[in-house]
Amino acid sequence: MSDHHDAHPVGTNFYTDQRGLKSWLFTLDHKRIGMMYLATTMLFFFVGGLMALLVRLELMTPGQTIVSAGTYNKLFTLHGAVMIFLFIIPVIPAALGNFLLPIMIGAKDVAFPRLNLASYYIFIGGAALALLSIVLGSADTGWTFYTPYSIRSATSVALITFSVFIMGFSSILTGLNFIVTIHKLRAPGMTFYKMPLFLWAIYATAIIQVLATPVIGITTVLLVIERTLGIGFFDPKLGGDPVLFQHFFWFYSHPAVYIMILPAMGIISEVIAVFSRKHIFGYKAIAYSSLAIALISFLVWGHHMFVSGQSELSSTLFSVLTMLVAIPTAIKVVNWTATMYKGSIDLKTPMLYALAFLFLFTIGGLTGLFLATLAVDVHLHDTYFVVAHFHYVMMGGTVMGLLAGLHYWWPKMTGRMYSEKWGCVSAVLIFLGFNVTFLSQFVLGRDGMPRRYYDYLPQYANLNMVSTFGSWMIGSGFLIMTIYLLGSLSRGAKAPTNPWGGKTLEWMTSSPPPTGNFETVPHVTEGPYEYGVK
Amino acid sequence: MLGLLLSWSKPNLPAVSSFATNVDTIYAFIFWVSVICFIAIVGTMTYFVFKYRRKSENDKTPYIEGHTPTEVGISIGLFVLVMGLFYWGWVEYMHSRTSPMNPYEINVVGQQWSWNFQYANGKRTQRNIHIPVNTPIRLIMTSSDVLHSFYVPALRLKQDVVPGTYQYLAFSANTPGEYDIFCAEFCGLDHSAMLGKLVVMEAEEFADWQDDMGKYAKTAAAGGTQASGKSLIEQGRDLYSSKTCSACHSDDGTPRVGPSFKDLFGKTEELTDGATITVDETYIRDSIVDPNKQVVKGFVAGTMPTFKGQLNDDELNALVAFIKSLSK
Repeated sequence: MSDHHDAHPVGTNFYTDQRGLKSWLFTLDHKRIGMMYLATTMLFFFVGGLMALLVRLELMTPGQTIVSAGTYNKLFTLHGAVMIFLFIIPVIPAALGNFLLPIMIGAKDVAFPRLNLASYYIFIGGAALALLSIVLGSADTGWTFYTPYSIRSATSVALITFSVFIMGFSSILTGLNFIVTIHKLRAPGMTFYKMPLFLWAIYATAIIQVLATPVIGITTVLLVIERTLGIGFFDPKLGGDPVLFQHFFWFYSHPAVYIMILPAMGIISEVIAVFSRKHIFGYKAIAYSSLAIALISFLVWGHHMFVSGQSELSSTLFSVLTMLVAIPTAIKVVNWTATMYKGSIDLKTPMLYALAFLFLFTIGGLTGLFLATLAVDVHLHDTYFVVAHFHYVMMGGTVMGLLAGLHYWWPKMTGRMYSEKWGCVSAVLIFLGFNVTFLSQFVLGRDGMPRRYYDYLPQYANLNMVSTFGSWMIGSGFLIMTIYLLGSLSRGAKAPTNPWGGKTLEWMTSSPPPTGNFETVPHVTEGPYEYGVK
Repeated sequence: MLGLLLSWSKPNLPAVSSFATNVDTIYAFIFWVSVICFIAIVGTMTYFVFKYRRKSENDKTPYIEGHTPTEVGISIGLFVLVMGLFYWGWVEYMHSRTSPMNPYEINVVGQQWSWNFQYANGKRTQRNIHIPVNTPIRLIMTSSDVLHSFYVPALRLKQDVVPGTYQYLAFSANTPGEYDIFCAEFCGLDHSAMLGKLVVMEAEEFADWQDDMGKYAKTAAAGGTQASGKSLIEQGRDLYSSKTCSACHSDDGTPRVGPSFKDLFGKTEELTDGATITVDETYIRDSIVDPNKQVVKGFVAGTMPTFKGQLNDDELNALVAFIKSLSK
């Protein structure tokens, strides 16, 4: 750990303490590593977003619009793979978590700073392999890599799945680092129940990362062995079982959905409390529901396989267990809403995104009920209803949570304020565009349009056109955001220590924080949400 | 607003089976439950945003940590609701998974990128499947290459087909007409072109169609359909001799090296490893292509050679149909 913060003159921060490219490439400072993750993952978000716009453009009209079927199949595969593995899994834990976790518990850094830097380079190595595989023929299997098609596809599936294997280690090591940090490095007085809920969420996420990620690692290795050496694990032609692959894949990838959403839920807890000036409603209920979701998430993977040929008994059990997820999820939503009761609600950009999260995630959660119900899922499985559902959860949930957090902590991370006016404009544009894009897809799926379709029947044409218009609104919203956020770095007003009136520790240190985070070790006496008159 | 919600409350699709109608009912129920929950959450949120909008930096807010009875109450209420939902969906699902008595069986083989159908009388079609109205139908489905999924929105039914196994769908269509068939599991380049029609016909018309009689007399050569002249069972009997199955398996109960096919289908057998299985289509298929995988007690593993690669899916289907016909 860096133990030389008192050697620095007052007024410097972790950006200005050291200069030069080398000071970044070899940094052990969690904030710098967090910022490098943020820049990297946002770059991949941009790449994945461009692919999404191309996918929507192709689907604007039936038949060929801009690309061939082969190119389209690669585009939607890469959109999914890039968004999932290079953006949405790492972005909140590795970028915001890295930057904020040590500060929020009053520590100087994570428990293992060198391991932290190693995690970043492992991630970069995996990402480089993924990009290489795109150059060397890409993949056209869908991000789920279902066998036996993924065994037989002529595209470079082995390389892209191997990159997933590599990036898995980054995820495991980050999770491990965070678990140890939370257990060992909390400042005096910072008990578990005085931790901000964002940290409970990161903690629950870290447990899933450590326990579930090895399974996708093994699965991708088996897939690579089968493709390169012809040993039959999954291809019936070689004596394998294709459905086994689905079990392995979802045993990781379903918990991974909660790796994606839980940290965003943590952000929402922070933002709603701060911008309502209220104690969070049901602190323990929210904290425990994170752990409950983490636990149940391991037991529901078979709900992706109701029509795969798995036994009726399996489907029955997975349907029951999936229904249980509704309870801790609903508890959170109710508690966030109740937190606003009799509050002093300030509709700044972070709060707008938190409200957008509540609106969209509620729809995402409720449409999950349709899919958890066996008979209804038989109809809706693999249609656009599922596409709409997971975009409501992943983009309406995780990305809105990320944007709330990004705007909330932007002054802390960069030391600059962004334009509130443009923040508002872009939030409204993204929110409306999102609903135009994806509400229409619920209707398409309900009426039977299968997903991963390059071409579609005429009855689906109108709503596909609508959905494509929506994607342009989302794109414009993000374009505006990119401009005002990057612009704030040079032209934004200097951020005060605590612009929003937050009570958590990151708001007790300067913006941006000094290298060691605090001038003196903080002593925690109060909880994170001590607002209001007792 | 209500009109819009009403139009969203159920699929805008024909519903041509009782399962389809029931799925729509459950769909509508979940839809209205969702609308109520959504209004409760988002309506409350919106109300709070207007009512408790910050008026000054010095706004006083009350200190409320939570309310445990509310949390417990909501949890219990939701538990009851989602278990009820599970149960309703489960009952309908299990109903759809139960095969009717004496169904009309059709073999389905998915391949990149078309659907192939084999009927009992030996007739074959591609892309379009013809069935008689109000008749229990059972599809015996497999794939000759990668995963596909046989999806008929008008029936609200979908089933993945998995190479090397048989999967089943059972239904009865109640309205004549033509309904879309999609492949719903991504299967490569022309996945979205792997389409077809479910053609539901009046019983007499279907009989004419199947036997190339009446107004269908001349279409055999033209419309992508082909009649082999031999029924599926007869084709299976031919293979039974020509592939020399008959050397080791009798069709009349006579004991030979291997089990007799007489009354084999549907029987419960104990295996050499102590497990028990019921002889179904998948077991017969497995025993032809991978004979040592599940050996019945009393027989020796390694006796039968594999026929993997020597029989295509159509031939396997015919053999299975033949062996089934020996059990009554």
